[in-house]
Amino acid sequence: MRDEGASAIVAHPQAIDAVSTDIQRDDGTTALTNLASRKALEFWSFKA
Amino acid sequence: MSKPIHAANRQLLGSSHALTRRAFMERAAALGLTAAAANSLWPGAAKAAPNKGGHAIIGCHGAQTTDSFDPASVPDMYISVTRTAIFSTLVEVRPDGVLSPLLAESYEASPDAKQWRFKLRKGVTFHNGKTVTPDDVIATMQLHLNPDTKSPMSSVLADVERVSKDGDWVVFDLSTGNADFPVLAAEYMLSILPSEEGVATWQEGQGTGAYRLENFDPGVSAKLVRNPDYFMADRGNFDSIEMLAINDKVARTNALMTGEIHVATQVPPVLIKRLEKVPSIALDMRTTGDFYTYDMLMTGAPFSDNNVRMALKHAIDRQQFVDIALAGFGVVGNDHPLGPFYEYHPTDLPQRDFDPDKAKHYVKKAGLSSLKVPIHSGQNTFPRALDGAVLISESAKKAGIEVEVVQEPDDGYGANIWGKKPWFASHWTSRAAADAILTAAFLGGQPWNVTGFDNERFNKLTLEARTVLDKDKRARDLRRDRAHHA
Repeated sequence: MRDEGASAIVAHPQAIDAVSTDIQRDDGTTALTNLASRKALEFWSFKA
Repeated sequence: MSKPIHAANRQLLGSSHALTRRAFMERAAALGLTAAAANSLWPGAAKAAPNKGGHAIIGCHGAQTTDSFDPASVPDMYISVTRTAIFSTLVEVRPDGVLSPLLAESYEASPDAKQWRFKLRKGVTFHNGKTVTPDDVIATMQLHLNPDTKSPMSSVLADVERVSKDGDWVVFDLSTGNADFPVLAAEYMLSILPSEEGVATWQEGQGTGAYRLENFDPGVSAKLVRNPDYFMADRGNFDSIEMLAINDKVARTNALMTGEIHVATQVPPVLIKRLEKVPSIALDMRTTGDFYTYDMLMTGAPFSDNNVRMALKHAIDRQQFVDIALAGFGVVGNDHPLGPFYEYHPTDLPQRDFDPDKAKHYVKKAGLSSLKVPIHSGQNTFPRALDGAVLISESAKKAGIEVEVVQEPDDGYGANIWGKKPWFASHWTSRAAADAILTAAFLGGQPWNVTGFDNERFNKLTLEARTVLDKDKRARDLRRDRAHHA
């Protein structure tokens, strides 16, 4: 795969999302576009 | 015959800059704290209960006018985030990286992991009011198992011989044991759809998730409203969400800075320092299992010759790409899909360096006196993808290779460029399990393996690794292909 494959893999990027501080994020959610947090919209809410 | 699998105890994700709740609890236990005391100290637990209400506006990248809820279509980020809010899978990967039941209230395996049984929650309804039944799960899976399907999940489910029901249980019988089958069931493309007379329907976007679809204009916006009947009562807090398709990264960032949107996905690394100074904006940065690649079609000249492929792999200055294009916010690739995010990331693999002399060597070995190739990329295939192609063009010059950069339109890139042009930019997103990405992108004959890579040894080892329950042995198997060629 690495030496006979066809993929010149240049980088593994960081997910970098920017979120308004009006939004409260908890339950360990991270960047929305990170795999483990793609469900973040279920957990987020507006701060009071 | 069956034994329960306490998947909630299983840590799926590899490295993360954040301490997971599980790791926190383990460390707390090691310090002699009771679970209750540790729970009260967990930062997530200290936060106030979520407020219900409000209209959240998300500016998301990766939107196409061809986007749909068809589970067999090629999803980019916009539609996958939108789908995830609307639909539910049998199990889910929680934000802390733990696999947990979702539409299924529990699941269990036979001792040889060849049969997996999922017990459905009772009383869950789709957004159209229809009750979720085992028949809906079976019909959904048939979308991916049908011999004529174009679903990329067909390869992931290749070992499924039969899906049946037993009361409230859905039963998957596999041809070979697969210890990671529940992880695969968490793939969002396997979200459960409503069915009628054995046929699952996706066209109207009827799911069971926290938000229901009110309006969808592909490539433009989607309006979601809270599902009052969501079976996870403590989730789904916004009254409504507007998913705005903003593919331009600068426009997305500006919209956040001016308060027009609440979330901007994938902000440009070069703007990070500026955004860090804005008090009303918080940045979320996490290592992902994504990888950016420039893929070659092996099915025709010149890339059918591995010497040409190796020449180009050595003609790329990956460190320069990370330093310049990603402003340092990433890890250098090594022509291996399992980056540091994955549990089975090969840490002992020598880094493939930029080496013009080796590139020249391989050009000569291919029997060529010179090499001239076009490289195709959209502006936003991934952040700075086009700039990355320009960097490759510049570094390749040092190896005497001429690379012509061809800019392609972002809209329709997945349908018209990806897997169609001989050399093209490609962005693969993270998967819950290593097997899922190895299968989807590299296993011979799979629909998303568009480069034509079909290596007998790789195929054999990948399939064998699925049945290995011992994690250390599995790690060795997943690396053997690499070791063979290193």
